[in-house]
Amino acid sequence: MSFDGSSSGGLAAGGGGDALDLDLNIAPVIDCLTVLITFLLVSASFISIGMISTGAASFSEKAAATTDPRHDVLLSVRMGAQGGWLLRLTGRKVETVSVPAWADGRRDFEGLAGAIQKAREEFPELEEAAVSADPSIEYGDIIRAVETVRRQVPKVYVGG
Amino acid sequence: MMRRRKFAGPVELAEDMSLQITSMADIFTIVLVFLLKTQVGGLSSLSVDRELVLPEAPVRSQPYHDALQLEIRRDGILVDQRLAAGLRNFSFSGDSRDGDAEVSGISQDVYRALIRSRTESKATPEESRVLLLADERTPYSTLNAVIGAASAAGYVDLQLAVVEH
Repeated sequence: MSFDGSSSGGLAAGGGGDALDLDLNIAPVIDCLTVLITFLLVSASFISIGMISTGAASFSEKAAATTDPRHDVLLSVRMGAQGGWLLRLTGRKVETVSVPAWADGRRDFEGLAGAIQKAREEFPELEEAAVSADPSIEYGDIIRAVETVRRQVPKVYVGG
Repeated sequence: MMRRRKFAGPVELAEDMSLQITSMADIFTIVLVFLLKTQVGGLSSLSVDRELVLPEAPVRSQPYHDALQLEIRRDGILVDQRLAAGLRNFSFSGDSRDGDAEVSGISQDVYRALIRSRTESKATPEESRVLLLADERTPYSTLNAVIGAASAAGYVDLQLAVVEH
């Protein structure tokens, strides 16, 4: 038996045919991956945008009067320019609750949550609330108010 | 006396040096899967103007439903990415047709743009969803006028875009 020094590289075993020598060239795969990853990194957005589902409040008292009769009690939350809250229950019971601001002028969101919780305990069927504000109140504060109300009342409307 | 060992000559290095890129391919695959996963989702493809500062809110990710886009910027209101009404520092200017929007409660320009958009997109009357991207500095007076116009045009389901935190 003699060995051929110029063989193609395959080992002959047991006197059989040439073995298949397969080299997988992954350089093009790396190129594609590099381009794809660069594209995705450039187009990626690292700010996560979410959304809050609300409804548009009615713009007339007439429309408000024709709300679903199943909801006997409606809650209206108004943000005052001075930092306080004015909660108004209408329907089966008419009641107005005022939540003042903190001494330093900050809005009392905990007080608002507590007032809504009391209203919910008295009227478990309370399922809708409308949030409105003084014309000068900024949208960021309104979102915080909507989030606070939404934690206890399933359906929140904005406007009015 | 110890016999000195004769040191062998310098070892000749092999000229062929193969680069191991298998591990790099593994890392690239993992990073690619991660980036593709984060790209999935309708809201991630939402293009927000750089100057638009969305409010922050602790919200959980919700499924995004395709909706008409309503944007409130410092200098104007865009309906479906087309300018519908002009603003001056987030407020309606007195010289525009919407100068009395704060009084009437409805922005007529935005209302007309919404009706036009509904007609052009051939949306069904049942389509009532609108995605609102408003700057956090927008005063409630402007917001109320826009919401009023949307409500009058039949868009009563609002999706308020916020930055999750």
